[in-house]
Amino acid sequence: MTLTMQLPETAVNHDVVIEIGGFPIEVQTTDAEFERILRGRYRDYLRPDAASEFALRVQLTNPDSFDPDADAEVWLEDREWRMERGDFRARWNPEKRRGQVLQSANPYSIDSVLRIVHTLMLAPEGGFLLHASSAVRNGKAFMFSGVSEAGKTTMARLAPPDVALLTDEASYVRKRDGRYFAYGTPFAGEFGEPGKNISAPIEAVYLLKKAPDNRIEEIDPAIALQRILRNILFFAHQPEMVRQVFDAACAFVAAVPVLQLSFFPDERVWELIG
Amino acid sequence: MASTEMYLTQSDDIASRTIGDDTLIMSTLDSTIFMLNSVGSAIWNSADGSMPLSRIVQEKVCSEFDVTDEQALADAQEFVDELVKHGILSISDAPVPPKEKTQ
Repeated sequence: MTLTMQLPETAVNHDVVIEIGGFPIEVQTTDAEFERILRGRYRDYLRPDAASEFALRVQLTNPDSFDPDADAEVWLEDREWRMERGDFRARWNPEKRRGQVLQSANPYSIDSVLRIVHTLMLAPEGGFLLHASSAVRNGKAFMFSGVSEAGKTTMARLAPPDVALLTDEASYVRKRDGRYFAYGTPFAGEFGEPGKNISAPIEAVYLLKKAPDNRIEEIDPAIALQRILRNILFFAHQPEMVRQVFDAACAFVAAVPVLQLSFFPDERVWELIG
Repeated sequence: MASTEMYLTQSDDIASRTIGDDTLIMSTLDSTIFMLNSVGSAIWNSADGSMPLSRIVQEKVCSEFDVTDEQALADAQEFVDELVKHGILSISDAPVPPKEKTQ
């Protein structure tokens, strides 16, 4: 498969710098309407003044040219990551910190590419995206992880006013100076709203379980690691990447309390948090 | 294959970590996760190609856990078959030198 970029010489740039988790990525486009889409979707994550060392050049194409039902695939080829789904094709060069995307003018394809690229950037430094909602209370971040229907979005919906939501879908975990921080992301799930663009040290991860009452329980460390591994979002099933993710999960579980939160879905559950 | 001639070697295509008595193994080929209990961990952590399964069972399982030799060996063979099926463990009928371990 080839993916070439041939931009008209007279093209006007409509570039947008989107900073998530402290990584500013310049999304380069020559399409004014696509720029408007990007500015709307990532409005809280734009860095108008940032000179980014990361860049994704987007070439817009006819959406009918791809199979819309295909699964996303990510693989390493010639030292570049290749990504392909029914609605986009992309490549990312981790050494040059540059990539290209071929997609139609929609926000969903670039959103998926950004998620994948961020997982690729995070893995070598021990970070990852976790299938979890997360929030900041009293300067500390709390994550709520689980499978579909476990209650991630419910926890976000039940959050009291003093809680700042980081995401209800994909929690951003980054290791900085030996500590783990959660960052807000624009990656929204059912809640439909982007998270607040802030970060805080992670106090705990709660594995969600619906129950008749609310309680927090310790769990076996091996089970905690298993559950965290199962909920890490990573798309590139390449051996070195898998090892990096595995090691990242081991280090994370050793450093951050992973607890089980059994909860009844009403606002009282937040009395246990923070 | 006779159990007394079964030598076990961990695949290179895994990442693993023993926490307490349990071991988490992740296949780097398909990202499948396996969790081994204390008995499985005892066998896994001895799977360096140098010791036959029968001896591993005798020295690492029967000496530590309340189980008969016959039952322990039968269970261990079943366990090994499962890990071999998933490609995270390989078996050989002779000791495997450390630098020539099979994949």
